[in-house]
Amino acid sequence: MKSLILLSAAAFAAESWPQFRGVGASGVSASATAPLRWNGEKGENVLWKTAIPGLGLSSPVVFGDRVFVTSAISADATSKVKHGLYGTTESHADTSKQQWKTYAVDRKSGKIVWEQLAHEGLPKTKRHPKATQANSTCATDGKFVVSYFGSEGLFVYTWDGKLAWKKDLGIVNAGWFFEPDYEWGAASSPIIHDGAVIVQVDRHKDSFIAAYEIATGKERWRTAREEIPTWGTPTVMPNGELVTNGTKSVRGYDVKTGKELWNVGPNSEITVTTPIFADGLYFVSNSYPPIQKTYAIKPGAKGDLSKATEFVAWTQPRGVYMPTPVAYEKQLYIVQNQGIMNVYDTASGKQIYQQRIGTGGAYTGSPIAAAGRIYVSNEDGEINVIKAGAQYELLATNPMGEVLMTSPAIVDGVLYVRGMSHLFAIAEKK
Amino acid sequence: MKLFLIIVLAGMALFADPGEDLHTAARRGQLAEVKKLLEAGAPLEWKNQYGSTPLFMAVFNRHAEVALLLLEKGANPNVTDTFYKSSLIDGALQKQLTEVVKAVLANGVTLTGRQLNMTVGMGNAALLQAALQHKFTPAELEGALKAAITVKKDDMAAVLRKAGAPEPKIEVVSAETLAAYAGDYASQTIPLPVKILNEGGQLKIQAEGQQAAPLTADSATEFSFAPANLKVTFKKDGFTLQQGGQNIEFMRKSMMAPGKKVDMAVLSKYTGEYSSTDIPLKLDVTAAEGILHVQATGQPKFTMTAESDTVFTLASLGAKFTFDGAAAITLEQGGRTIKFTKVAK
Repeated sequence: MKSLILLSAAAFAAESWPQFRGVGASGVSASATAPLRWNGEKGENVLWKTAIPGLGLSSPVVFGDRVFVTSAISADATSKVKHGLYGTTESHADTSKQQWKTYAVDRKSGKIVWEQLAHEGLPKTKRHPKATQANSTCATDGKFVVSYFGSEGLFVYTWDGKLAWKKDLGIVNAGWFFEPDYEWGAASSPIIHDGAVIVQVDRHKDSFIAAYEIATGKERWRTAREEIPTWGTPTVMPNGELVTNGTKSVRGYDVKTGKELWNVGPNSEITVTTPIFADGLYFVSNSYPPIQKTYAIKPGAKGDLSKATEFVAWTQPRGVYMPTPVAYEKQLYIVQNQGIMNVYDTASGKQIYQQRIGTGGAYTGSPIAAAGRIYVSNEDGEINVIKAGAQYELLATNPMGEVLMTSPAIVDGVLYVRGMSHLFAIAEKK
Repeated sequence: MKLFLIIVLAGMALFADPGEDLHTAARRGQLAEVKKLLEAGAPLEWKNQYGSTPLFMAVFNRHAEVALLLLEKGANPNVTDTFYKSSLIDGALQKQLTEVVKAVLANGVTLTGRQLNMTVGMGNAALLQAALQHKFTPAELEGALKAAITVKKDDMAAVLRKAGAPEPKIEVVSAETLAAYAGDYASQTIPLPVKILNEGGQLKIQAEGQQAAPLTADSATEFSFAPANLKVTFKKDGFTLQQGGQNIEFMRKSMMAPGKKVDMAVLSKYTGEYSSTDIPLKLDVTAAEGILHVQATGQPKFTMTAESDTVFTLASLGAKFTFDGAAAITLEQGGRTIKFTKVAK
């Protein structure tokens, strides 16, 4: 009994959401509880609400007693993000001076513990009207905090907010493959694995993936990628394969050396989602036409999987453009940009159901799962809570009072949400 | 030092690509640089991985002066990129580069009725005049005039009439009929809700997240929006939308009720592959969580509505499936009755 208590305590202490979409980018919380109903606008079940200056689409990461987000504060105070369902290839007109910042927020009170200015100046690359100059989510291991601002560089801070090191990764002109001068802004997030920061830097020329010692910034390895701009975050899988989304191929690397192990294509010309792992398979989904595909890939592959097809467990001729899917309790939930949710059996790829969530709208933030529920936010500022399972059941629709385009986090039963203006902590009163 | 310089220069010569440089200068509208590169012999028809040439990208980015220079130097105006499959003339029309359109047409490029309709939608009389350099058929001109009348562009209509466009027949549809078409519609093949609006006797179609487009009556049941080459044919409780070579069935949302709840054990008996001796078509019937789906060879998967434990319908297609135990289906559609028998579970 004593050991059971110790085990529970250890598990409790370890609960965190240390990078984009939490541990292993799974989007699945270890919390046994999670809020069902709240109102961000009226303050119902809101533990705290903290204004974050500027514009940022980095999602909250949670570790220990801190929550971290980034933001870019434009000298043009009228600069906004244009949300909604629309398509444009044009860059945003705001090229004015910016301040790129990282914020550490106290998890209990919501007070800003520290903020650090990474860089101030004119942006080296432009952004999409639906993006900001701070799209990448932080990563932390409880000792260091990593912020990545694309062309403005990679910044690593100590836990108390001192700059440990920074690195200029060159111009990261992530934009339209068809016309490179249409810049949209980088969005791949850094991750931390085995004492190294890993960044996927896909751009029009000289794309690469690299690992740097987190304490010093010393390069551990760097591997060139035959890729054009992509926006997904790399994921370290349980067996040590580092899996990346990409326009030419989905690829697996040895996380220790950066050596490419396998690849599979063809893939969409624009890839945004992040690879995830569940039930013994890797899932990668894309949907920029004409190639719209969801891959379920078996670990341990070698070479070109379009030839070694035994490693492709299944594919679906339907994918997703922006939100990364979530796999939960043997089901893969894919939420398309217009709010259509397709649910598949993770093992077979067989569709279980398709359902429009609520009344539709634009969906950019990725779904997450906790306590038998799927949490899906829309840009109109609602978070829908859906019962996990073989049948669609909308349990609640919770208004936040502001535009939502990031992915929430759930740690120890508390939901952390980054809206366009505020960071929220939400929990139902016991 | 001299040797080092030679190596560096040789390296530059080795890696510089004058074709790519011309492509870059053209898409950025750098006229002086384009002239310099052309004088130095840069290849006019260099293509990137998406099949776009310097001329294509100059047009794409609205650099008319550069485009005209490249055309003057003999650049091929018959270019279509390999990714989006857009033609250069489409780009010149969409970007409203009147002088470029004139030069491209003078170089032998032809236009279609679809492109003429699209030009009408631009609302630019000078551009339309330029497009009319091409000799359109009377039917194409009539269609374009109808498009102009639909979008209430009197100046476009005047240009077309002057060019000899025959007056189109505009069908007058009763207010009651128009009112009956209005409503919310959805498709079982694409996840895009569509509204049919009746605004003071003007019927409009509006897909979710898009602007409403006015429809012109071709008959009491057929309507079109010529600038987007879109056709809508109304039928009982739904319509067929034709665009880009596709036919998509829509039905009133109110008619898409989930139907009767049928036990999964019953549905499971119906699943499997069925074939017919009457037509070379296979049906794949699947069930998941109380819903029965059917997919015919080479067609999308449809969700069936249960009318009873044995009868299922696809209202948007006017199809009725009657299951005979677990072994056979009778399909009734369009006045035909076709028997299918199960060939595989």
